[in-house]
Amino acid sequence: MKKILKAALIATFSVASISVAQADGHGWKPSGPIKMIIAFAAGGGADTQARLIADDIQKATGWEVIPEQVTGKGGVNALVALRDMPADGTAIAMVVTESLGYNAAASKGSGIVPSGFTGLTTTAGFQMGVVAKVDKGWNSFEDMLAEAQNGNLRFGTMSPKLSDLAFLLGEAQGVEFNIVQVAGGRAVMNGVQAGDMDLGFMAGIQRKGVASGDLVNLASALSTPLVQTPDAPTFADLGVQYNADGYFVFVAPGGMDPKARDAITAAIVEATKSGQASGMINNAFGGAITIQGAELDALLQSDFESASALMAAVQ
Amino acid sequence: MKSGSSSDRWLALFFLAFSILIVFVWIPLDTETGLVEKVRRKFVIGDALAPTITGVIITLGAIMTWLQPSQGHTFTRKNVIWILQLLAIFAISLIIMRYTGPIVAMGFEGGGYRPLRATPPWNYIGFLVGGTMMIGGLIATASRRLSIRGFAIGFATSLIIALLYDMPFDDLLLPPNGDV
Amino acid sequence: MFLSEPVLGVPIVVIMVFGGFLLGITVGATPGLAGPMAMAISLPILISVFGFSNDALLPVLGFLIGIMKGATVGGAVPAILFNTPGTPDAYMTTLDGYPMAQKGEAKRALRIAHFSSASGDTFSDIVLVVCAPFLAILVERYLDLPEKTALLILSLAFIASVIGGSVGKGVISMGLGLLAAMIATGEDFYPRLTMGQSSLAEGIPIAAAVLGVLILGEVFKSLEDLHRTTQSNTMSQVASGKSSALSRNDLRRLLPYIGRSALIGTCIGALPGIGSTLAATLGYTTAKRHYANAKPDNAPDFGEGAPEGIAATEAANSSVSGANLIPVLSLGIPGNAAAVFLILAMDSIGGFNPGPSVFRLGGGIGDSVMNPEMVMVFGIFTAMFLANALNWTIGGIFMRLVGVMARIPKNRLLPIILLLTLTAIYVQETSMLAIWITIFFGLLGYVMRRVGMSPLPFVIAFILAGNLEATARQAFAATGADPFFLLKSPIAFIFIVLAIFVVAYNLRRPLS
Repeated sequence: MKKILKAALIATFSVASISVAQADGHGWKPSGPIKMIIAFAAGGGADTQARLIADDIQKATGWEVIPEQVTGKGGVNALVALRDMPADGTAIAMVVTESLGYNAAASKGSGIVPSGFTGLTTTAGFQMGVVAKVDKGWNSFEDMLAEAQNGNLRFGTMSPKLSDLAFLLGEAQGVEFNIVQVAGGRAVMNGVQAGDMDLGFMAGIQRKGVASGDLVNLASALSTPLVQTPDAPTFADLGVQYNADGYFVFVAPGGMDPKARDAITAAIVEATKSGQASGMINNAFGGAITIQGAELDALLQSDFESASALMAAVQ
Repeated sequence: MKSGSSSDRWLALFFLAFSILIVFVWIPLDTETGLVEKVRRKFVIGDALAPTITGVIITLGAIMTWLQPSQGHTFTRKNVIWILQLLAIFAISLIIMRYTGPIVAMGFEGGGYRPLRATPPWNYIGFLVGGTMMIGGLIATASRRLSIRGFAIGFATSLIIALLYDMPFDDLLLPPNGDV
Repeated sequence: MFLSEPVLGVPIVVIMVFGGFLLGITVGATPGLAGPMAMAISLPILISVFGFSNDALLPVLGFLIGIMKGATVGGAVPAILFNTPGTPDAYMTTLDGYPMAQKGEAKRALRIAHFSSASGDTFSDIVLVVCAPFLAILVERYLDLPEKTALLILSLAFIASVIGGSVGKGVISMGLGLLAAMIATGEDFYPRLTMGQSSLAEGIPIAAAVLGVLILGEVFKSLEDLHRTTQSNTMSQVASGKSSALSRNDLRRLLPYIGRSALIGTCIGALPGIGSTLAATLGYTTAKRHYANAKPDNAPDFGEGAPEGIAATEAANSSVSGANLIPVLSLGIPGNAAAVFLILAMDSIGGFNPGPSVFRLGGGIGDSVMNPEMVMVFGIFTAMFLANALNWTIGGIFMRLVGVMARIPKNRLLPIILLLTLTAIYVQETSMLAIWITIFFGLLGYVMRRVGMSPLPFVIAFILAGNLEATARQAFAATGADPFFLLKSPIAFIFIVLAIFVVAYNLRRPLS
């Protein structure tokens, strides 16, 4: 009985290994299935993006990619889970740059620092705007400001960093906001729509509403103007020296083999430029932005370092 | 006082002690922000507030149970023994489930179990053996009779469940393959 | 997505509702299994099949709704044939169903059960479609963040004090549910109440807590009961003779009973926390009172095989299932175990957040023309009426086929359900720890059942806790850190007073 079982196991295994060998056409291949940790709630835009990328990679390379949700604490939970995984290319995670920047700096107890990870590539940026409902009757940032003088407006945000930015915006403009922090961009959207909040940060989810004349971008929280509403002032114009520039980013555990890093990065970039993922990224996030290598390392490090200055500014 | 209502009073005391413990020991030691805290020069609700209110709710529930005990429910030593029996079955079968695959793989391959965790038949080994043990063990305990038939049912069920999840879906990992 | 394509010209949603309905009848007819259990086990499998996309929502919910409706019909089968209720709410059906079966009228009893069940169900769905949007619009227009917080508090107070025999234990159960949900959540980056365990940093998986307490707890308890009672109860199927068709005269006699019970069931279903078992009991006792006055001389009494008894029970317990979606869709608050799994499905798939916002015209989640969530709600309504149509047309036939399910021995069925549940949780969470957490909550559910504490307040509190805390935080922040935000608005104040009143009132109620 044992011998038969053993023979059967060996036979099956050798068949399996042949099929793996056939699928492989690149210089590097993972030693097993790749675990892709997704730091976003299932079903949202970010989750869909990650799953489509996983699908595209699998189709293009034959590597098996297994998506898995690890949500919470602004991506810090996902990074904690990733940190202890093998750095051989069998574990990667999709987070946002803020996870490794502000959130890592704020959660000192977790011990997350950018140098503990290998950055692969960003996939898309946020179109972070300060958005309100058109019903409010505000056509511009000044209109909103005029009303903010009369009483505290409710400002919806979705992370501590954005709450800090909202506070600094109020301070720079000499008004006070009641900052209402909720979980995720969709919650801000719902709150603004339901009238629970007067205005709020939205990172791209507002696109259709703005296009249909339902919502209005009052300001760009980025260092650059918004693509959709280029006339809206940026945070720098409004006297805030910090901004909400940020990207979706794939990372792997620290000290990864450069070969693996290059191969996986290339596969992700390919997915953002072609395939199902590219269509989705164009639609929802205004096109792919792929920052990689040394440039990405520098970006992550500077985000992390500037976080403490921002935290000190709101004390 | 009937035995049922006195056991409800014990229950009330237990939860009274439990709620005092969480409000005065667990919550203060295990939350970083207080009941309220000052952030951006304004008060916001801290992480300790909601658990503390919850502790108070449990206290109130315990007091109500003490004042108005109901009858007919008692938790006996037999129930404790039953829990221990269940735990033993789960501990044994889950440990077998977790480690059988890696142990078998050690005998065959230098690379270990991890690269094989999504490859049949390796990914089934732990689940089949552990699942058979769990179902067979539970059937035996419930009917107070150790029978081959129970384990046969266990094996058949584990196999069907394994195939049900593994055949149609590429992305799913059977126990314990996400842990290795 | 290929999965939303029609199969052989039949839309996938229709097929899913059909499949769920058949499974529901089968499960309902199996003593020891109940609709929520089948919903729980199917959900992870369905999500694996259909994924997390928006397209997945209707097929998955269609299947679950099919189960929910099928199970209430199926529960009557073993109650009538074997004197064993398939689901707890069919207990009252045994009182008259089994005597009828003994008299050789099993088929007729099944027909009455089917007719009453389908009528009650359809009535309830119509009420849902009419009421839910209005309720939602009212909520949206008049309730701000403090009022929403107060409404959640009122719902929880109501659920805790109404379910089960003891208010105190209901409140403890609710408190434990809140506490479990607070582990590792919160706004600070330190995951609170995790005792430094990084493995808990993601919190208690919702499936682990809910399935653990509801399913494993029940399995552990039933297995122990089997373990203690060694003798196996034998069931004998009764012979059926006589013509079974229902005449117009029969219907005229039954309809008042069905109507009254459907109304009772619908009202009870619309209130969160009171299940179909109470509806069945109330429907039956009300009918009994009326019957005592109106009974023809030679007709059997209630308890001796009166068709009116079956009709009253089945119409009442079936009319809960539509109405219990009123609080789910308009407020996001689940009223019973079946609704818990519908909310769980909406939560896991995403793209649909049950609550007043789903009935908002236009805007919604990013679309310009029509609120996609509202389109989805009407899809759900359609699925419900589809299930009704199936119930009317083929439900009766299937009821007669599934009588054999009552013969499956529980001591083998329950362990199988257990492994299926644990596996379903594993494929979602991919961690052995999640299995251990589920077992822990299973033991908690078991102990709760043994000490007479209803597990339902735990589950509903667990589901609502995050929402409650978040809404309270937001209300506090939005009012500029006003500590009395719950008392300053008149509506919120009324809700809070009602919450206290509900608990106090039930505390004075004599214990059952």
